[in-house]
Amino acid sequence: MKTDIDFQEPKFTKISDTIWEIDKDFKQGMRVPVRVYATEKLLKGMDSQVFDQISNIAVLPGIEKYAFVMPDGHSGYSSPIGGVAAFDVNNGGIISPGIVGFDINCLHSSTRILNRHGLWKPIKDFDYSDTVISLDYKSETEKHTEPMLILRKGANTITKITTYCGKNILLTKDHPVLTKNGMVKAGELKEREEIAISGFDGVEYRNNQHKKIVTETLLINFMDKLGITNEHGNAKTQILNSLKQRMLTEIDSDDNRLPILIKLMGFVFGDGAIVSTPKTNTLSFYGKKDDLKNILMDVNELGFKGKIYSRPRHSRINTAYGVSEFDCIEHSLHVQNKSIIILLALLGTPIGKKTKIAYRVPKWIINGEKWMMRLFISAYFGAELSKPQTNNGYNFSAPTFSVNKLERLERSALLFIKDIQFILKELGIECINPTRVKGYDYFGIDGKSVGFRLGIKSNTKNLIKFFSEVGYSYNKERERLGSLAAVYLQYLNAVREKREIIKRSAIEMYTGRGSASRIVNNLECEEAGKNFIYKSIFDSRGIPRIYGIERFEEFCKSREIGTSGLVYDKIINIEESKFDGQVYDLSMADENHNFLANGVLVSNCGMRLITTNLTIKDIKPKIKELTDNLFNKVPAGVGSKSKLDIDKKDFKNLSEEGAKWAIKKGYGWKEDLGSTELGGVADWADSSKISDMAISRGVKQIGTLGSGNHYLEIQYIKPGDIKDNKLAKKWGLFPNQVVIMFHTGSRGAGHQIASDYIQTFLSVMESKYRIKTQDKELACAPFDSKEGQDYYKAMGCGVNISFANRQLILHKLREAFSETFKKDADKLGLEQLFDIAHNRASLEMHEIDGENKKLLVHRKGSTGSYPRGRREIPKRFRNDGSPVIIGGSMETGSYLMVGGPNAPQTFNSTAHGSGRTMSRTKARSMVDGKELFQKMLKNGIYVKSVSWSGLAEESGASYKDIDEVVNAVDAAGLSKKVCRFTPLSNVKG
Amino acid sequence: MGYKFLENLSIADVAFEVHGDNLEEVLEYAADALANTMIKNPTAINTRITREFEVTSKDLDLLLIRFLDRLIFYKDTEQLIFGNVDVKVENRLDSWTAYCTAKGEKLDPARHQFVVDVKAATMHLLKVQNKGGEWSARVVLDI
Repeated sequence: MKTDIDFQEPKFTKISDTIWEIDKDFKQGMRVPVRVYATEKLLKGMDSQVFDQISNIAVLPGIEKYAFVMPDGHSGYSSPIGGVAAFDVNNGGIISPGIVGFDINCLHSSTRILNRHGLWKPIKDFDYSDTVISLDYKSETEKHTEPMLILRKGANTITKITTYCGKNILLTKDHPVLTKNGMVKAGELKEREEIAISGFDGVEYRNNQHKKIVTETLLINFMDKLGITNEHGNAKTQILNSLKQRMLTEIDSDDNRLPILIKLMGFVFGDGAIVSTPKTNTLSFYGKKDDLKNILMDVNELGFKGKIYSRPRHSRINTAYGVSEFDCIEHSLHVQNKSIIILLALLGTPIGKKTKIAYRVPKWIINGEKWMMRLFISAYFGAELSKPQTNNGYNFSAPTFSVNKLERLERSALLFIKDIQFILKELGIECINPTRVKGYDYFGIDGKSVGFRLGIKSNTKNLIKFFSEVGYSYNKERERLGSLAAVYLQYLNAVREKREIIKRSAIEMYTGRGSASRIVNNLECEEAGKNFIYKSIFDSRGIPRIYGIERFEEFCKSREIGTSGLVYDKIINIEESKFDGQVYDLSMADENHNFLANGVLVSNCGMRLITTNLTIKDIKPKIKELTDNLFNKVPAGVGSKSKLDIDKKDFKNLSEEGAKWAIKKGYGWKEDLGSTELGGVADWADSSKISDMAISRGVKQIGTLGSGNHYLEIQYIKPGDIKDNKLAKKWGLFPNQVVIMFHTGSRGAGHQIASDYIQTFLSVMESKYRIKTQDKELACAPFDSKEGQDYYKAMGCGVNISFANRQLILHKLREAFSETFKKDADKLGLEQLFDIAHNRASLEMHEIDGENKKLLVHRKGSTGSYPRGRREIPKRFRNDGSPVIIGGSMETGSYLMVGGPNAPQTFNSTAHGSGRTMSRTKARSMVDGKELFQKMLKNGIYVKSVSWSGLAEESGASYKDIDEVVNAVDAAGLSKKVCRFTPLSNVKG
Repeated sequence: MGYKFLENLSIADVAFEVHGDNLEEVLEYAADALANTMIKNPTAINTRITREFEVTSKDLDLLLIRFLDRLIFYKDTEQLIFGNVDVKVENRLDSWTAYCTAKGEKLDPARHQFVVDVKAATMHLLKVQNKGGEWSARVVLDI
């Protein structure tokens, strides 16, 4: 396309139908080639200034692999819009001495890493959604953390460490291991040194069969069966919507919330209850306060609230042995929400008093994966199974539990216990057959109940397997003791083994006519004292008995690290061997160092998508009233002024706290943060790094939409426009549904921050840091320089201002809807689906030629598109991939997509809109705003704008074909279509 | 002499070119172009409010950017649009200072035909130059 300046036309090499490459020779100094993602038609439509601008980026120091242009690419200033570039941490000698290492020190690929549910995965399969168990050094307790980085590299040698209790670990020499003297590199460890180990291993978290566990249809049918209808009010719809909002209507076997649901169920089968009457719907858990807190955390993670109560109780029960009375403080956790009850009941949790009803372990768990079985029974055992205890300090009693039911339900009690026995057998654990225990008979108000008991066989091998792989959940004390018991039993085994060897040696030596006292002197050691050796020589019957060593209690006291359940264990062997393969590590890295090409991103604009429970039918008659109301509430256009009365101090807080600030002030719902990237806060922001001019501009503009391509649009989903039914359903989208999309950023404040720092960078860039750029607007500085650090903190403020701005607008939007429909916003289902910036630099880990590197990914007019599992994705979407909001022109339509499999090719970046094809100036001269308004009205789109010319600039004809752009990123696999939205009305500045 | 919008440059934003007999005119025409980018009928701007300010820079490009940024700042913080800007430039030692008197009024949707808001003046492709006695500059505004 022709431009006013003659830019050089590049030559393109076709890589695929949607990828085109410009060689490094195109412009002097280019460090990497350029890759354009577009169809041939879109490529031809791009103006040559785009390629000039992107090649200027390719010149910048530290750039990795390629500079990218997305299919919506078009020229702006500095970087083209739709431009992506990532800069390497270790490039150009600008790493600060204070850099926090993510030295790649690694573990063998098969190393098992335990997650917080007590399930393990080989490290090579670990992803960012997995929470790791780690040790908090300060409090010496266990804590749950998410990995910041998952690193991988090749290695030539590997070290194998074996401990006394039989633990093995394979790692590289430079991998640190926790010892009594702190972290020590594996290569520096010596035999007999003690390292931290855990007795608990868990079971593998692997899905062999991918099954649907919950679907909307199942829920509907289940409610029909229970007689829950919409006849009186709309109970059924409310329950469905409540679950939809939490994305719980579609759950597959690999969903990361399923482990939580199974654990909750297991505990309810033990010490919990579901009460569902016309008056109350309560899910209750009973236990120790700390354990209930852990349960509550999981309940919260599913999106529900609950409260823990403590009250003194006096109990009196009649047993076969007589009347027993006692006082205690009862702690309970109550969750009052019918939808979670329906969900748990659908999954097979009994409703009502458990002694009075018949139930079994749900079939899908019995027939399910091993990890499901383990979670269910471990949570059940957390409530019901006796704690690990020894009868003489060395040998453990058989852990037992019992089930009580009314006499008439005797068979049901036995069947349930047999289900548990079956599961244990599947997990490789032997039981003593269930027995009816008279002593458990109980005479309550409902009549006589009878009890059955199941015990876990107490032989060492069986108990080690049980405590190390199954154990308990939701019971910290028993989990800890179980893990310690597992190590202790392994320790006993090791002692026995050693004694067996000594015994055999002693006998051999004696039969070789040795002197008994000399043999004793030779063989005496920690595990085998004089008496033992004499006894071995003169009485060789049976296996060596255990005595004279630490009892369980002493063992825990002397070896446990704090109350973590971890113990120190001696290294008995260190072996180094040749190795040719990949090693892995999880790391918690701090901020890293990089170039910040300032001009690439300034305004931190972004998109926010809101769903409703309204359909096009509901909204059509009110569309004009609603749009006008929105227009009045959300200031837009040239010089628009904030309606919010805040002072500079408030604004500084806002710039550090982002959307959280707005929520704190009452502008929005807490849940909005969970569906905003970064949780709505760039926590590295520092308001002392932004100028007074930026603050002055911000104070006057916060809560305004702006103009240009900033807009607020009401849209709907045309039947047939849902491309991924499963995901759409899960994300709460349905045909004919009304949604709202809006686009705005940090307004003048963000630009002021950028202008200020461009000038700062220009004054030091060449003289101090010897960096040259082709374009002054691309001024930059090393990240670890004072200037770079200051700007990074200031940019954080820009990101926060943009989050807060969109949050304030969402608040106004809810008000407008609520006034127009005379209903509360929550009744209208005005939930935020997602908020994502498309002008931002993001510190991310990426694999470059087999090596993991931390990069600062600059996206200008390009949306982050993360494939499932990445830690950048808010938790509720992590299993699916990140939602990608693509805003089209006001005449055509917009899209919701999801992070695609090939997104890592472009450092997880994709298109952000349809992209202009005609300049604003040209559009204004070619299109008449008033005529366009009439034409759009005729096509069913009502526009409210302050400016006819502004409207003309944004006409559909000024933009590329949105479908073509979306098809290009979909075909390239950068992101995949979920659904298309059609505009109904638009508020424009 | 005056300003001209460039139709085929930086299509997401707005680009213009100014020509003048001296540096003062370049700045003054650039101020007009800025006002005209935001409103369609700049002649409708009354000049009842005055703001006086000065900007300094060692570099002419930066001088122009700081000048435009200041006008944008008044628009964002006081909703002012200027119909007449008078500039005197002095070159002392190695730096340039522009003394400016900007006259205008508060933005009024009833009388000013809004076009599009300007967020910033950028340094992209920026060039303030004197060729054979004629001064010119090219500016890309961030929209």
